[in-house]
Amino acid sequence: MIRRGMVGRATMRCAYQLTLLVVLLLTTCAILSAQVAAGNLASENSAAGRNPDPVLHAMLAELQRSKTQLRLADTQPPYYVDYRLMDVDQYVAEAAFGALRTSMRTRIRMLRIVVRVGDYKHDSYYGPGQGVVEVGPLDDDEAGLRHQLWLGTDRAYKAAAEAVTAKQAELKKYTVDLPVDDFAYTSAVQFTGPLAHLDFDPEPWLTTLEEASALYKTDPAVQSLNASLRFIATNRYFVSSEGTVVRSGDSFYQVYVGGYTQAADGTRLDRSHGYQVRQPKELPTKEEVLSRTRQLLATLKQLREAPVSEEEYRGPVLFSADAASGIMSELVGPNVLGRRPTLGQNARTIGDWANNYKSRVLPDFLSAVDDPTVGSFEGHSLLGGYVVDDEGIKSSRVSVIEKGQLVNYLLGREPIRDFPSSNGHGRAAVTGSPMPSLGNLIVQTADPVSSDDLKKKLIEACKQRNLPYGYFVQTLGPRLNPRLLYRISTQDGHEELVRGAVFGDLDTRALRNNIVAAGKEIDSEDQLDPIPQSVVSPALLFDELEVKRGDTAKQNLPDYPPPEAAQ
Amino acid sequence: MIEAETRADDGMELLRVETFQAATPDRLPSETEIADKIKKMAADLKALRAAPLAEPFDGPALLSGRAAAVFFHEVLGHRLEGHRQRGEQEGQTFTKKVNQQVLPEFLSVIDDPTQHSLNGIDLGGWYQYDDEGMPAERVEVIKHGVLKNFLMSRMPVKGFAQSNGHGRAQAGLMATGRQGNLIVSSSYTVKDSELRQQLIAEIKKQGKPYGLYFEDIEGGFTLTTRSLPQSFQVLPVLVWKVYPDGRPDELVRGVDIVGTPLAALNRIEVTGEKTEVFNGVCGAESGSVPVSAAAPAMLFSEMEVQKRAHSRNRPPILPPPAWDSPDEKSSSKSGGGQ
Repeated sequence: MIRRGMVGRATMRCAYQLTLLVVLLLTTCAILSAQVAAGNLASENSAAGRNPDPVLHAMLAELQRSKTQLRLADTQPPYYVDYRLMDVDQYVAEAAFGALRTSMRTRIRMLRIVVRVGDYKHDSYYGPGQGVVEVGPLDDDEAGLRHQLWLGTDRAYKAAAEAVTAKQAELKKYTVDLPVDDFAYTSAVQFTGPLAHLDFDPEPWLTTLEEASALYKTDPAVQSLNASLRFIATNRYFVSSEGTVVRSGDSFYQVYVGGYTQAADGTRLDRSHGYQVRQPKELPTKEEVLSRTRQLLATLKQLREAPVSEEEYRGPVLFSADAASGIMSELVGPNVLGRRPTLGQNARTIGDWANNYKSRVLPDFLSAVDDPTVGSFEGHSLLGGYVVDDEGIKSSRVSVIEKGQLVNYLLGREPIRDFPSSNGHGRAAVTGSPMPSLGNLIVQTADPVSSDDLKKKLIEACKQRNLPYGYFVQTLGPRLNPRLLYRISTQDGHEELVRGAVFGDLDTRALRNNIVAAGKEIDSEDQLDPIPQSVVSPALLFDELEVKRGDTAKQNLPDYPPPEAAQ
Repeated sequence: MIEAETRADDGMELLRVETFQAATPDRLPSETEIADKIKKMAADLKALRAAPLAEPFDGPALLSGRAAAVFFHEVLGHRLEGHRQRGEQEGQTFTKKVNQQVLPEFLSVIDDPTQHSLNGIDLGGWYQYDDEGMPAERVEVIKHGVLKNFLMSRMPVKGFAQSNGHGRAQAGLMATGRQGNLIVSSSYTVKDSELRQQLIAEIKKQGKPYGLYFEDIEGGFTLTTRSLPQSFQVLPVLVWKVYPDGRPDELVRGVDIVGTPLAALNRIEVTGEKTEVFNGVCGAESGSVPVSAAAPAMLFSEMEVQKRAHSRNRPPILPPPAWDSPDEKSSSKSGGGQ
């Protein structure tokens, strides 16, 4: 990295900077007082300009120029411009078989520039007109950043001019029943939060990863055992020609342990456990990680020895809160997003519930809200909190499902039919376009049942149908396939771990029709990528689901023993 | 590596790249040397932006040593890679030419990964063992114009059963026969200062209005498969029109060398004395590997060039931020430095 002394040039431009600050303050339409979010989402508000952030300063200076001067002959000037800069500082490390394989710190600043031509009703946000991405300078070199923004804005404007024509031509092919605006109007937001920094000492963590992954030595049948971590601090800067100026920072700390083994019949068996928190102090101790890893290895062994669930089953299934949050994340999450279908299509959204507004999607004792304004829920630390979204809209708590009925969608600034404005859920990954996204989706029950009573209800339901056993799902893997699945004997409540089963019809229809009870205890499914979010759910009892044998390919077992065993 | 790009008024993208490669950090050039190169790049780009577009042309051309080195790497070197002599997809330009004349008699070509440096310049394609564990070997591929050998990995081809230490790959890929330090030498040379006179004499002899001088070539790519034309394309960046009547040389932009490899190689008339080195990174099936190409300046009796297809994107609308004066109302008209 070559660092240049910019003192001379900065001094020369002093007078210019002062002029700009005045312009900035005058053009700011509304100043929102920053709200400190609940939980651990600390934030602060400082009057813009008092101690100007050099990054914001450069972005605003170039925005001002683009807003007032950018004009191509025979093309309309932009009606809207925004700049987003994401400064990502990330540390990743990974160990396998007791040895460190990766230890890497990276820092990058990505710029995303959107120029819109036209107006809020019909604009150029289409195809190439959806913005351009550039790499920004890492140091706070204002001249370098402005130069990059200048080139990016030029490209984005020309692309927007091209896109608006292409979009108009495409639209001529279709009849639109109920036209909706292209972009929701909003008033300006100003928020300056504290910058996020990574706070950790890598050495003890590397030891933890090595020691955790070294536990493979306790079981020669373990074929993979990885321990990894990812610590990431992201600072977001957003300015728009509407007067919005936002700076916010987030950090996340993730530790993960995963491994797999093979059953005697060749079936691959996976287990993993992750910790995802916002503050280093919430991370587990080394002892906790090691003990969790031992547990994971123990369940792999149990799975290896577990019988294959051969017969097809149709009957009651109980999901733990952990498994249920996975279901909600997969089946409710994407369907409450107000994502507009492609040009010319008349559906309201692209989800399963495009036509379910004001109709029942869950049993009437279940409700769901998405609340990005909180940092935790009933003691569970959540990942999906933020103060302002990536389109410069203040976050808000949105009730999406009330007494089983779909009453709202999570929206960004691209309106959908009957929902003309954003509710602060337009969020983006590092270089991506903002899209309606979950924050903290919390599913709650009006009639909580204790874990013991849920199990009793399961057995009771099985007895009524003369079933010898029911199923209890403790943990799900990818594609909602069970990882820890137990048969509960109707006779004596005895639990038996089985493997190799999948669900036949676990879908949105089953959510609406087959859930008969929900638990008191809750758990959350937390996800960092592509956009940090949490989904909270109580345990769920379905009165009918199909459980059948999965058809997975079986690889042969290794030809000869691991090296340790041969010594 | 330093890369600079600008755009001419007609939208043509103009690029200059300078790479500095050394075996150890202390052998890298000094800051002053790098600064001088950057100044030269900026001056070149400025001159190129103002330069007229090249016209299609077929006539005498002089290539600087660096330009000739890149030309040989693309046109000859890639076709001598062993694995290209087998496989139905390959054009196999040289497969059946072993022991035949493929270059003028005064030219010989070796690929010598064991050579550390040449004329005081570290060679990028130096290594002791290749990526299949074979010791690096100096291979005489062309001797006095006659094809003798290929650059072999452990994949045999007909008549060449053994590796000669040229199996190379970037991390994670399968090794194939690749170039290391490709060095062209000549036994028919004139002083470099006389080459220009010979170029002018050739222009006059052929009755052409002008000839071309290729000062620098950025690199290029070559197509060796059968389904595509057996052509090559290198990307010359600094090309001058040389007039026989004593007018000053004129820089042109947008030149592409075109043609088929065998024909071009046999039009070399004479070379200069001084060998120049081009260090770079070469990409092919087995990934990116550091290579060198070295050659003296060369006079070609005939070289075919075409206009380069280029973007029509307009230059930026607003002046760069550092050149925009807040005092001027219509600042977009100002383009000069302040």
